[in-house]
Amino acid sequence: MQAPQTRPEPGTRSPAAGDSEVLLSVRHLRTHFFTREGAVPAVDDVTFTVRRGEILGIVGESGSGKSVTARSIMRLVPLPGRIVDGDVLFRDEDLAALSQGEMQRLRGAHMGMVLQEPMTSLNPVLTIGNQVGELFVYHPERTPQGFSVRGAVLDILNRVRIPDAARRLIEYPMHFSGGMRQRVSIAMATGCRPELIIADEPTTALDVTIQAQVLELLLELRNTLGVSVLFITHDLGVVAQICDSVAVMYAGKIVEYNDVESIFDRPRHPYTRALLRSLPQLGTRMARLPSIEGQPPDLGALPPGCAFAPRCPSVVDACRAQVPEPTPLGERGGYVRCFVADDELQADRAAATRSGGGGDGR
Amino acid sequence: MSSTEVLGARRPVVLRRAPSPWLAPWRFVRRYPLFPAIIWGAVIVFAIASPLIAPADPFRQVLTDRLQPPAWSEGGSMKHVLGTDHLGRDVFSRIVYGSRVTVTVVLLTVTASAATGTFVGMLAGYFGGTVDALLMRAVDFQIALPALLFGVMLSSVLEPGLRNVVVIIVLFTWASFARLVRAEVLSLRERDYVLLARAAGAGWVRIFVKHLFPGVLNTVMVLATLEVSVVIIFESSLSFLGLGIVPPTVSWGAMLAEGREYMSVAWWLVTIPGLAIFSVALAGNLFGDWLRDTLDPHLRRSA
Repeated sequence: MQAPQTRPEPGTRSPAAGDSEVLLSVRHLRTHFFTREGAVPAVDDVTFTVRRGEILGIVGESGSGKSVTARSIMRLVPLPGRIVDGDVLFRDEDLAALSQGEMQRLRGAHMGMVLQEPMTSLNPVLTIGNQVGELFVYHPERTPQGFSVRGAVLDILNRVRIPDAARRLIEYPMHFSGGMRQRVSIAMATGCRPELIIADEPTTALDVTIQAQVLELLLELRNTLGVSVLFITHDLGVVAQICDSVAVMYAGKIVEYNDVESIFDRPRHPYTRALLRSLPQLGTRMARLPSIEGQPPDLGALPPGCAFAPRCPSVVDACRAQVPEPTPLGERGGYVRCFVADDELQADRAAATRSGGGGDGR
Repeated sequence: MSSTEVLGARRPVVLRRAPSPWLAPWRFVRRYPLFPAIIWGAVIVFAIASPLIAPADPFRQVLTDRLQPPAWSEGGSMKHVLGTDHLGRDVFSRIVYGSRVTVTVVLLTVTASAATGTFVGMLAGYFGGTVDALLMRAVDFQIALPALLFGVMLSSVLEPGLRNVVVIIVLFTWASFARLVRAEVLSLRERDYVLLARAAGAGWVRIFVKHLFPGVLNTVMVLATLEVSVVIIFESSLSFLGLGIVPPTVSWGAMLAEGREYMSVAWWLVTIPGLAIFSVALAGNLFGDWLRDTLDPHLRRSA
């Protein structure tokens, strides 16, 4: 490629602005599901990097591999799935090399998780206090100095601003609203002050006002605790609000990865463009909201080339023959996987050189 | 009232007949497990307070009083309410003392087999894969064995007695718990709260204790009550064959076996222990059914 030799491999640096320490680096991650019909590549060659305090949005349709990526990082892939290749470096440790016990000590203490459905993510037969208190049973060494378990639970419930927490400790999940339950989940995910929160569509099931409150809470936790967030969503509006960088996933691959401004201002992949176009715009009236024609592909029977080719408006012959490799995008770690985008990038660069400007290839 | 008139639409009045007071006892019996409660209450009282309740020494042989019929039949007397056996022992007293074996065996075996089966089922369901395959083959193997025949073989190798009766029965009842619990755990382990607990750093022991066990408890309790009757019949069968509880300890199954030879002249010697076994087993089943309906939220009526 035309990229200078000194440029690192795409995705091994974070495209987000800032220069804090790297916390999580996922490289060439592949997670396959071994079904009777054969191996299904749910996550296929995924590479990205998250720095401390960064919020990375992973965007994509249902079944694009967002959640499996998240669960692969925690090594909680459901059966019959298995991580078949790739590295997950967390705090400079290779998670694949850790034993089950070491991984268990890491989960909850250094990485927390929040799920989509607040109605099912808490055990209905355990009180809130009992359930959140479990966290400090798993990680006694992370209980704040001088706190009893009950005190520590109260402290974290107050931190996620659950009103009247002391009284609510002995209540059951059924006494809590969806938004409040999601706060309890976030309390559990952040109770041990982890470095990373994996939030798997935490706002999808909430109504808009509650959604805003939960987002605000996550931002606040990022600002006060310096926690990094892996924010999985299919809501681009939410991404624009809180993320520093974005990875767009399609059929198990990251098709475009860049900082949030570039994704919204200069999307390069036709799929990213289509996603952005399908967002309703305030103040414009359209007869019909543009949608992406066709269906997401069956992961068990992917076409030989680019998985998006059958639905792509700007498809060329190369797309059907070969899977496009990541091409660096921007100064930092961003990349795009698209032959058409490659050509556009080259044309832009040529134009920039002609006009004498310092084109940066974005 | 006035609003419906204003709207001009009169709501049809649904007349519902007031529940008949005559059926009240019937409704009570249907709602509460009265029959099982009485039978089991009696058996437990018998077992605990045998010496106080039994009118005679169950082991004392009075050969002059042998083969006395029960009080209500011809030639019977109130001295022996349920008659006497071929050695002149009081049948009622022997039934009372025999309940001790029944209660002991039921408590020990049901607890042990429910505990074993639940643990095995949780392991198989939660871990899946090879663990599941191995444990479930063990279950299949156990269920494929003809219980009574194999029990007979085992007890002829081991020496008869309470301990071996318990061991044999547990060996043949844990598997049904394991199967049922595994099936429940297969669905429980996919719950979001289990995933979240794992993501929070829970190991399998904590998951079992906090999330899986409360989830399977209802099922296990219902199956345990239903197993009570299986256990009673199993114990009686072993004792009947002379492979279970050995004399002089009194057991209903052994009473049945001894009485068999006198069936033509003394019908009560087989009928009374038979009825005891039957009613206790039936009570167990009825109680299990009631418990299942009560614990099943789909069948529970909002009061």
